[in-house]
Amino acid sequence: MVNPTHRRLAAAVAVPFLLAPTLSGCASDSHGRTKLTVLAAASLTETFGQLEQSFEKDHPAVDVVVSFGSSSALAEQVNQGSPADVIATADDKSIGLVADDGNLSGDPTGFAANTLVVVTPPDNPADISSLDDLAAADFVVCDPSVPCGSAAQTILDNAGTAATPKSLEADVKAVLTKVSLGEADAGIVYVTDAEAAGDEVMTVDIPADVNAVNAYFIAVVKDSGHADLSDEWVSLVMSPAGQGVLAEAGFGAP
Amino acid sequence: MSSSAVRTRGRAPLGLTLPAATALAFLVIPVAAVLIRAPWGTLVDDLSAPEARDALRLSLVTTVTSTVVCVAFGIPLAWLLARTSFRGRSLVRAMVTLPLVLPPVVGGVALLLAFGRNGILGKPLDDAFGISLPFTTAAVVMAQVFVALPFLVISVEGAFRASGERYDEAAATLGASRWSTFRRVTLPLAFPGVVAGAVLCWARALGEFGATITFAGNFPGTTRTMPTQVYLALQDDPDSAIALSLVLIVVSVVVLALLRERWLSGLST
Amino acid sequence: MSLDAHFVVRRPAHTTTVDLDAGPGEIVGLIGPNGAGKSTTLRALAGLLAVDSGEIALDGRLLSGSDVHVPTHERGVGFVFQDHLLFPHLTALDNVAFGGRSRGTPRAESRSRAAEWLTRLGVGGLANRKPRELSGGQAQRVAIARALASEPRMLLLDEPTASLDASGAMTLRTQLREHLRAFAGVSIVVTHTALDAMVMTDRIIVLDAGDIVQIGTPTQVAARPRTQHVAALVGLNLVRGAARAGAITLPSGMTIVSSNGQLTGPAFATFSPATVSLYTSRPQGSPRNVWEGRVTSVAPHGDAVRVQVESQARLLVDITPAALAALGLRSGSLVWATVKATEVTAYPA
Repeated sequence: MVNPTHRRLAAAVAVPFLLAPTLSGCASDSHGRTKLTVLAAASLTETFGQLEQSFEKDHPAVDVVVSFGSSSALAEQVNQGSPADVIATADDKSIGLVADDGNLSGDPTGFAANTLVVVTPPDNPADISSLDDLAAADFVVCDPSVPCGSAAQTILDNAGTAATPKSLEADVKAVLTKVSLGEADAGIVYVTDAEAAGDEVMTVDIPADVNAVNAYFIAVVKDSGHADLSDEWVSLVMSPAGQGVLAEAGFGAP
Repeated sequence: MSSSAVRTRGRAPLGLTLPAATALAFLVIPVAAVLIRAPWGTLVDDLSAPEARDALRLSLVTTVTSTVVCVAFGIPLAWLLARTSFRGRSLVRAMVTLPLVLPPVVGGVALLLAFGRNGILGKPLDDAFGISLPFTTAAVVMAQVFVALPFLVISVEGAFRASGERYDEAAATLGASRWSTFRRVTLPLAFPGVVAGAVLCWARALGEFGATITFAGNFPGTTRTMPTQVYLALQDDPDSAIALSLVLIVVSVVVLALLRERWLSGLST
Repeated sequence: MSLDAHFVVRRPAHTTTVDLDAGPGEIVGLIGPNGAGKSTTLRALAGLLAVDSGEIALDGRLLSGSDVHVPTHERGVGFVFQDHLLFPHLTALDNVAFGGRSRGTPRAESRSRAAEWLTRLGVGGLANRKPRELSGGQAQRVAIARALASEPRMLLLDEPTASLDASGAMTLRTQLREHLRAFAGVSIVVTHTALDAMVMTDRIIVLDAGDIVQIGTPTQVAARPRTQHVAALVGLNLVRGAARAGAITLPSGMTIVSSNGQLTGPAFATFSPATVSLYTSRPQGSPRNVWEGRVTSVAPHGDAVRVQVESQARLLVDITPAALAALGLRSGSLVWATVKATEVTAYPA
């Protein structure tokens, strides 16, 4: 899928932008701190935000910049040559694409797992109490092209329900928005996202035998200019402290 | 004409041609990138895949519908702005141009809050008639109208202003009422501006993504238009995304090229 | 078919006060410099402007008043614009048929009537042309046909010959006079040219700074102008001062002796540029009116040469090219100008 033309083209398009030094992964910011760029799946927004603070506390000379996006988009960015030091995805497929292109130094490491739940508006207007109730409700899930969507599809298949979603949202945040605004009766999201949404949604558990498990993987990008710092970031994520932050947000162990 | 301008007024200065060439390159290179990178070998297969065809068909149906809606309601609004004076007209003009500067996603959120199941108009609509707009094709059209209407109103208002009020006065001295004057004089004189506005409006509707996915959602055949299809295909099938992008680019270039300068002149005045 | 208009229109720049009665078939000329209120008057009569006070009544029907404003399209007032304003998207024929269609006349009938009007104005062969394919004179004829075909009760014409060259204007003027003579309603013609006013109108109203300053027949107005604008239009020198036994003293101190020995009080004096003689030294003998001044411009004027002399008043003098050569005049030359008292007409201001 990625051919040599691809890379040259990306370089040509990138030329004007490289004139702006702040966009380069190896640059230092205006305070002279080293910049460490971490690409992370959107579902890691809260946890990696916390880890960023503790990392910077231990490394005052380092400015960690975490860029969140869908896993497949992040993988595409790295393969297109966007400057990055670490990539953390919500599935093995996306990071596998980066590995296949030889853009990782070392193998990806599993660092967390995420399962899914059904969320409804706080007043649960369609009286959802199980997956079976979805068939009679207006519910939304992620598009199958993103990990939370393929996971939702797996769950619906496992449950053998005839339920069809009203809409395939572009990402998990959009599913939550539709549900919390009451535009949809229900949605299927990661446990962690439901956790973060707090009172805005009500949660209905999905039985373990039909639930899908998303494994989260992390790896250092081959072209990283700060291999040591990148390794330290991965170590922080794998450390008891890092795992504690993840567990608190609802993630399971890898 | 340009060559005679060069002869009579000298060469265009480098201080202008260099930035101009840079600006042009900046606009052209990304488009060229799509052309170069396009999966020409599998183009036909990519575009005839059921999902791509569904998206193409839905885009065609919704954009034509939303353009018709924009023309039907935008021309009267443009007339009001060009030919009458009333308190708060500058506020009205600001409201009309707002969708041009608003991030489309914000437009989508605003539409949800107004016409969603719990929206200020959507809820009564749902309660009284059981009509729910989000996740329907109608919602796609509404999102497109929201972002595209300003293009029509602004270009038609410009055309109304350019043709001037004096022909309207001449028509009045010949016994034509305001409605008759609008129909027989004002509108025909502004016709090029109406065409330009409608085409721009259609092109904007065709490219609409943010408000659509936010307000109408995304489901194949119902609400998944070309831009949404491109965005999602980019996640797992970049070749298909590039093929669809190519279609959008080609259609846009053809449309803009068809708008000859004469038709676009209504915008500049 | 009579007009009874007395109204005031206030604009930030100026106020226009008009008092105007006209009978059926009468042709009234409106003259005055730019900004005198001519266009304002026409627009108010057509209902394109609201009046601030006063009334406009046509055939006894109130068109404008304190609580009344009949919209333009219901007034039955035709308008011929200086730049013709033919609808560019319609043919000459459809332009002329426009009025009939507006009043609900069937399409075929409107068009056949329009064709008649075009023929009457001598442009019947141009029926299928678009306005951009017409010359200025042709377009103005179509515009006149268009206004007349809508069968107005009053016709307003705003400088109908202004956009044409001299010979085109002359032909149109003659033709227009015939059609206005045949028109049963009141016609009001705004004009900048003396010839339009002289040839076409029954009565002239002179406007200056928003006020009517003179009303009279073309002959009266031409012989005894009361504004510099009209004097310039008809080609006369005009001064204003205080008369005492026929001698008029200007504010500048200059005195002009006229043929009217009885006149006393505020007065105008007028004399033709052709009656003034120029000398390069103080003339001998005892002409009554002798003024010293400097030449400020010399320019051809028809067969003669017009010399402008700045004395205690500005004088226009017409001399022959031979006289110009003999005197050797140029801008800045010192001259003496004389005019016989019998050539000077004086009348009360």
